[in-house]
Amino acid sequence: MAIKISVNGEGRSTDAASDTPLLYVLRDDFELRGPKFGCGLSQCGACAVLVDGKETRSCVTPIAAVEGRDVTTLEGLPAWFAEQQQLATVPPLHPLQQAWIDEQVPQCGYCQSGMIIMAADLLSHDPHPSDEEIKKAMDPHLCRCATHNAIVRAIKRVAAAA
Amino acid sequence: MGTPTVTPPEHTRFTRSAFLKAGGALIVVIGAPAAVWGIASSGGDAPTTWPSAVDPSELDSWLAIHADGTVTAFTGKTDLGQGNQTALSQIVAEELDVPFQRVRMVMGDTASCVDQGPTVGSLTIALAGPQLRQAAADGRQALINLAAIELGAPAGTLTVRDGVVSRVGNASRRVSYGELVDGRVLGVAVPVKGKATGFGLTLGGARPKPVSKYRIVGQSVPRVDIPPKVTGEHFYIQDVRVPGMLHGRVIRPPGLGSRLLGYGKPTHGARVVRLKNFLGVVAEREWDAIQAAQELDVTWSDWAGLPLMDELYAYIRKTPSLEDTVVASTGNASKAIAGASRRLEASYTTAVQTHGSIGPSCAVADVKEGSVTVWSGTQGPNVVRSAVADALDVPLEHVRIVTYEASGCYGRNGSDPVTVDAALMSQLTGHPVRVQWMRRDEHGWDPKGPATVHQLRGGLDANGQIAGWDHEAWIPAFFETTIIGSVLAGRATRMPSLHLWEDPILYDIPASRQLAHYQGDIGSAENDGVGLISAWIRSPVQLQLTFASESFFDELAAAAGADPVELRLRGLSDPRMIAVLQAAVRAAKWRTRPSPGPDANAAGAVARGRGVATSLRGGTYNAAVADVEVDRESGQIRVHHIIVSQDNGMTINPRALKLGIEANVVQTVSRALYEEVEFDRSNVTSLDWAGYRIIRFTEAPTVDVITIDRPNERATGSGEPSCNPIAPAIANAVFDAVGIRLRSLPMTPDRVKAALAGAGTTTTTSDGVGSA
Repeated sequence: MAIKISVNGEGRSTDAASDTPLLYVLRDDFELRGPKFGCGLSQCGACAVLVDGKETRSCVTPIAAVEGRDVTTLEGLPAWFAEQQQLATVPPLHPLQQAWIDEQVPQCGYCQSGMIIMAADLLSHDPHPSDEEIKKAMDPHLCRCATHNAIVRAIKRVAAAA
Repeated sequence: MGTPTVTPPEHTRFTRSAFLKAGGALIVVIGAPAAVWGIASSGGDAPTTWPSAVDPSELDSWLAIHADGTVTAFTGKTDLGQGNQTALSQIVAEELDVPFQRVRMVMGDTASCVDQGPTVGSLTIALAGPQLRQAAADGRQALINLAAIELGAPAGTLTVRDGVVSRVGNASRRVSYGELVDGRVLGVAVPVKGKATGFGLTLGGARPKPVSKYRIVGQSVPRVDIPPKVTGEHFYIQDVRVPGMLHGRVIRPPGLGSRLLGYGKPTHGARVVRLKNFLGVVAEREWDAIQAAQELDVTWSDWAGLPLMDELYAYIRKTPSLEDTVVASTGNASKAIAGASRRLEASYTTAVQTHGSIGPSCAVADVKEGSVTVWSGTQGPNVVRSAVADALDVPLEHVRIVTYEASGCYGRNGSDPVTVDAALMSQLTGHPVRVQWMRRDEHGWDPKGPATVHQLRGGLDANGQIAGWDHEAWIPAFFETTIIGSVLAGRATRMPSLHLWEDPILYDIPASRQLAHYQGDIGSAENDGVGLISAWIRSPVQLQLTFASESFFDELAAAAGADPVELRLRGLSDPRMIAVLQAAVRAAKWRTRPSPGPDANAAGAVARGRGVATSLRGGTYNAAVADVEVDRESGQIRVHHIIVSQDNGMTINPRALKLGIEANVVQTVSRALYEEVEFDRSNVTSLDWAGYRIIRFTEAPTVDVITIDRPNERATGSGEPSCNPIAPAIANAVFDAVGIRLRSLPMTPDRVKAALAGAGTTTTTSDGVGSA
C-alpha cells in the first residue's frame, strides 16, 4: 500500500515498507539532499526535518508515522516560512538560510541542514531567544567542525531582525 | 519507486583527449563551460582508460579558458570544508586578472587534475597555492602574447584588467580572453622544476604578480560552497547516485583479527557479498541493505590481541620500536639536566581519538571490465586510486577517482577504506554499488588518531633558566596506513604515511634533545601487522607533542617561580613567534605572575585560572591563552574563553581564515576535555555518540581570533595549526586555577578529581626529581 505524505507542501506517495525511516524515503525516493544520514540513532540531528512544524529526527521516524502529515526539509523552508508569516510570495531563502550565508557559518556543512531546521523550529515559537536559550535549544545537535559560535551568531542575527 | 537515479552535475565525461586530437597543446578552447560540467555517466561513450598521471608541464592540465571569458581551473586538491575551493579560485583569478566570479574549479578528479598530493596537513594553500599561481601566471603571459599578435603591439605595452587585454594608455585597443582563445588551441608548456607530482612539484615560467598589486587575494570573498550548503543543493559524496546502482553495507568482524567462519541466509531480499573475511550485503533499497546487514547471522572466530585499555600506555612503552630517531639535538641534554640545580621529570599521555565525522563515509563504485570509476570523498584521490587498483588487482590506468566533498574529516577518516569497500562490492556483484558506512562502522573502523606517550626531563640553572630539555615520545609510525577492506579480502594494500615529528623545540635552550620511538599500531604484532589502524587527526602528531612540551614548559616555569609568558619570551628569538605570543597575551590583558594563581589556595569549590601555550607547525606560528574554571567537587573543567593568535604568512581570505580557526579551536577543546576511544581486547567499543562524546553548544567557549597577516611571507598552513596550543593552554590554566597538573588527554572530571586527591601529581623539589 502506498503511503501518502506531504513533503514541502507537495502531496507525495511511496511504496516503501511502512517501517522504513522517513530519511531514506526523503533521500532515496524523493531525491532530497537536505536531510542527511548521520547516526541512525537520533543522536546527532543531521537528519532533522520539520513534521507539522516540529523538529523531528527522520532517521528513526518510520514513514508510516508521518502518513498524512506535513514534512518540511531544508529545501522547503522558504515556502514554510512564507506560510507561517502569511507572506504573499515565497522568498528565495528562509531568513536563517540568509543569516547562515551572511555569517559564513558552515565549514563542511553536513550538519547544517539539521541545525537550520532546529533553529527554524526554535524561532517559530520563540522569536527572541537569549544566548542561553539558543544554546540550550541547539544542544541536542552535533557539529564536528565545531561551528557552534557561528551558528549562535546567525540565529541571533535573525532574532534581532524579527 | 524504482532505483534512485539522482545524478550530480559533474565532469565525468570530460577528458582532455576527448577534445584535443594531438598532444602538446595548451590553453584549451572549448565552446562553453557546460562541456566541462556535463552529466554523470557510468557508461556510454566515456573512455575506459585514463592517463597514469595528468601532465603538469602542459598548461591545459591546469586551466581552461572558455569563449565566454570564464575560466576552469583544475586541482588535485579537494575541499574539506575549510574553503580551499574559494581560496584557490582567488589565487587563480588574481594571477589571471579575471573577476573572481568567472573562475570555477574542478577538484580531485584523477582523470583531469594534476596530482598535487593529498589534501592533508594544512598544505593546500601552502604548496598547491603556489603551483596554481604559477600556472595562472603562465596562462596570463600566454594570453598577453596572443593579444600582442592580435593587437599588433609589443607584449610589454599591454595590460590586463578583468580578463580584457588592452594597450597601456590606449584602452580602445583591446581584446578579451574569450575572444583571444575562441577557436584556437595554444601550445604552452609550463616548465616543471621540482618533482613531477605531489607536494614537491614546482612550476616555473612567467613571473607572478607582485603582492602589492593584489586585488582579490587578501580579500574576504564569501565562500562559494556556502550558499548551496544552506539550501540543500550541494552535492556531497553521500548524495551521488548512478543508474543501476545497488546499496551496499559492510559487515565487519567483531575482533580486529577475527576470521569469517560462516553466515546464514540474508533477509530483505539482499545478497551477500563475500571475499575471504570481507563481508557485506547489497540490495536495491537502502533500508533493506541496512536491515539485512544488521540481521545476517554471521559466525566469526574470536580475537583478543589488543592490550587492556587500562594498560595501554605501559603497553606502548614496552612495545619494541620499529625505529628510533633523534629529531633534533643541541649540546648534551642528559648531562645538562644531570648538572642542573633543579630537575623535573614527568610523563604525558594522549588518548586514542576518532575523527568523528558527522556523516559516515560513503563512496559509489562502478567496476567494469577494463574500466573502473569510483566516486569518493577522499582527501587523496591519487593515493586512493592506487589503493583501488591494488584492491581490485587492475592496472592503475583503468581506475578513475572522481572526488566529491564529504562530511568533514579533519584527517583520514573512513573515506579511503569505504572507497575500497565500494570498489570491491561492485567488482564482486557486477553492479555499481553505493556503500555508506553506518555510525558503528565509522566510530569503530575509521583509522584512529593514535595514543601517544611522552617522557620529559628538564633542568633549571641557579638563575631559573632552562639549562637542559629532553623530550622522548612513543609515537605510532604507520609508515603505511592499512585499508581494512583490502586486508579482509586478502588483497592487502597499504597507503604511505606522511606525517611524523617535524618541528624542533621552539625555545633557545643550551642543551636539548627530541627522541622519537616510532611504533607499529597497537595490537598489530598480534595480527600480522594489522592492529588498531592509525591516521592522525589535526594536526599530525603536533597536537600531542605540543600538549606534552608546552605543559612541561609550564612545569619548569612554576618550579622557577617565573611567569609562564615571561619565561617563554626569555627563550624565544624568532620575532614572528614573539609577535604572536605578545598579541595573544596583550589581548588577554595578561598580568605577570607565576602560576598557580590566587584561586589555587582559596576556599570554595570553583576556581578560575588562565594558561598560555605556543606552537610552531610547518612555518605557522600560534599562541593561545585559555580562561578556565575548575569545579573541585565535580571535577568539571569549563573553558570560558580562548584567545588564539596566528601568523601563517600571507592570508588569502581573512574572514574564512578566522572562522576556520574559531571552529578548529572549539573542536580542539572537545578533544582536550572529552574525547577518548574505548576498546576491549578485541576491538573498539565506543561505537556511537553516547560512547564517544563531543562538545555541545552549551560547552563551547567563546573564541577571539587574532591573525597577523604578513603578505610578503609565503603562505603556510592555516586550517589546523591553531589546534596545537589549545590543550596545553587549558592544562596550564587548570594548574593556575587549582595547582594540579593534568598530564593525560582528555582532561576528564575523573582525572581532575584523581589529581586533586593527590594521585598522579608530580612533586618537584629543589634537587629532587618528580615523577608522574
